[in-house]
Amino acid sequence: MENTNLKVLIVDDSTVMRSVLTDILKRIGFSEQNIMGAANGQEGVDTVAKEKFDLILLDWNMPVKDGFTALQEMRASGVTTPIMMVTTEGERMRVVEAIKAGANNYLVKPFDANDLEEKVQQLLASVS
Amino acid sequence: MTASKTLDATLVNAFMESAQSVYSKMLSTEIQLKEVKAEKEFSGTGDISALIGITGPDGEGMAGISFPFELANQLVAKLMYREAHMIDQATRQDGVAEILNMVAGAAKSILSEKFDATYKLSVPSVISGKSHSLSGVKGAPFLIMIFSTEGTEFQIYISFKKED
Repeated sequence: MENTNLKVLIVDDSTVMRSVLTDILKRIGFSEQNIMGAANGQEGVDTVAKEKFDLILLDWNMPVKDGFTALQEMRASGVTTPIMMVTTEGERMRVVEAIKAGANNYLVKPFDANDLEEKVQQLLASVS
Repeated sequence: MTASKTLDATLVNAFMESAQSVYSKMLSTEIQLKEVKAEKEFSGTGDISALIGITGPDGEGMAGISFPFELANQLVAKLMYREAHMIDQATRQDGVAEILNMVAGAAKSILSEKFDATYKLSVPSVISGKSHSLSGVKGAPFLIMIFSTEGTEFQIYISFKKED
């Protein structure tokens, strides 16, 4: 499938959520070997500084460095990779803040797997 | 109805709605609310609990969730599309924390929109072991919501002290 060679970084402090997101991405053609994980915002920032990704899924509330700060730092450093926030932060104000800071899409937990699949495909189509 | 009773009802409704959403969307299962009660002290009746701090402009507190081990394994397995026997202790702890994170996060969004206020959550922590006890916020009672799913009960509890 066309997503097979795309590289994804999942930044979430929950290993369970990283696993859930990985499984959903695999269902829409991503290869597990191209999906990497980071356990907090700082790890995410460090990882994208070293490697190029085609998509970043970013949680908001994490220890060490939150996802919003990581988003700001990634964009400030020139990272143009599409970033989707996947977070429990569901308030409209939060969504607006994230989009203004450079997030390309936003998905609130809890979510239907179909919603994630659809948003990922939409996001990738919009930047291809 | 007093302000505190209004807050209590709003809290209960927000957590009930958010819990139902998490179970339905992420765990493919339904839950039934069996009882809501207020107690001064609360000993978790489950084997594993996750706790999360809540702060807002009108006060601070915490929310928690408690499960028997077997139910926790079943629910984390559903979340991960796995079999329950595949869930080890570390995964169970992480999964229970994430379930609470989603429930509390969704409830926080409901409360923030309703009261036009910004509430913040801490990163969840987990207590594991039979007969563990939990402390709430000093001067605030526990609101305990007893749910049933998969034929087993679990509890969501909230202890929130509103500033005068």
